[in-house]
Amino acid sequence: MALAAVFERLDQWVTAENQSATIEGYPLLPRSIFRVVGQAALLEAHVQFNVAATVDVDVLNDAKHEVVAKLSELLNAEGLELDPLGNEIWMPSETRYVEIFRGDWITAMRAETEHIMLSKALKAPIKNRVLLRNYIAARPPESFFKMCEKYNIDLNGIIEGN
Amino acid sequence: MDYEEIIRKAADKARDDIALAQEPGFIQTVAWFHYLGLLKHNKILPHRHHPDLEDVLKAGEIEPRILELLPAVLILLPEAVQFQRTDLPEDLAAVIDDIQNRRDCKPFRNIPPQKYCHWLSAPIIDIARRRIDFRGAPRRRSASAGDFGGIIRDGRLKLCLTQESFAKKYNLSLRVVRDLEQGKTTASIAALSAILRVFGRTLRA
Repeated sequence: MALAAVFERLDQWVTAENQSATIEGYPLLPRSIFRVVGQAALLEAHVQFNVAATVDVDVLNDAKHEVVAKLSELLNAEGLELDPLGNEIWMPSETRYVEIFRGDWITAMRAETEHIMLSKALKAPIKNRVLLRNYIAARPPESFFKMCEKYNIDLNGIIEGN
Repeated sequence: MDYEEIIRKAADKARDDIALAQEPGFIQTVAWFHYLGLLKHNKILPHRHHPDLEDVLKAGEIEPRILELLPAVLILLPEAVQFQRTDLPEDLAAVIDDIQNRRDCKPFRNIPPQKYCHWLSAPIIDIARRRIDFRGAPRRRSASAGDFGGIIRDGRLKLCLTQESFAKKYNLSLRVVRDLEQGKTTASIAALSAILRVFGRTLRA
């Protein structure tokens, strides 16, 4: 199942929770934004180069704990896991996100590939060396190289395996 | 920064990476981990295959996420990979010992302990266990008449030798040993006869 369907179910759950809350007089769960990053976002983007991903999904979010817990449960039902440290993943300030689902209460987005790859090049270049080589060989946009310069990333070193 | 030069260099290196990622051992390992629900891949479909440890380790050189999963798989799902304790390279054996004896773990091939230890308690391992039904799983490497790969592999494992040490001990090329075990028929008759002689077998027309 695509991640969009998982977020759609989450939106349905929040809608039901908020309908109950309205009747009972409790505060409503606020609108939440989830930003999918990492390998899961690369798979979601249907990139042309080879991508493997473990089943943990990295998501940056501003949601209430109970909404995150429900997302974790919905992901588990699909054989995926919400990475508990997902919110700590560094993404560049330039990161653009593409919307993959918008509901009444939940918006889900995925990071654009060049920003995910930049994050990997800066934070985990050894682990992602082969992935980065494949990405660069596939001619990334010039903006990727410019960001690499800005963040002092040694692309030659990554490519050569130094 | 000369972008074109960087792209050219990356393309040169990526050609080797792509070639390695097209080797049967890599594809079969990823397909199996995908089948077990441990890994996803955008181009390799899940497939029921039962790789051996050498294939898995080699695949891990291209895709380190396989190495990230490997200690948990070998400890919690040992039946998922064909191996014997003597097959374990030193660093992997040390990681497994550290985990099993609750000692502080060290990085494993650049993967920090918190990354590979995370999978020891992941619910996904239980899902993978349910997907393993060995009664119906193919036995790719079982030795049968005419199955040279199976004969060679089983014989080598009985000698407790890795492919590398086997090739060295019997003065063979590692490539020949690997290819034969994978069922590729690239070896000369002379090389094949020499290997089979090690196990007391002969080639007959």
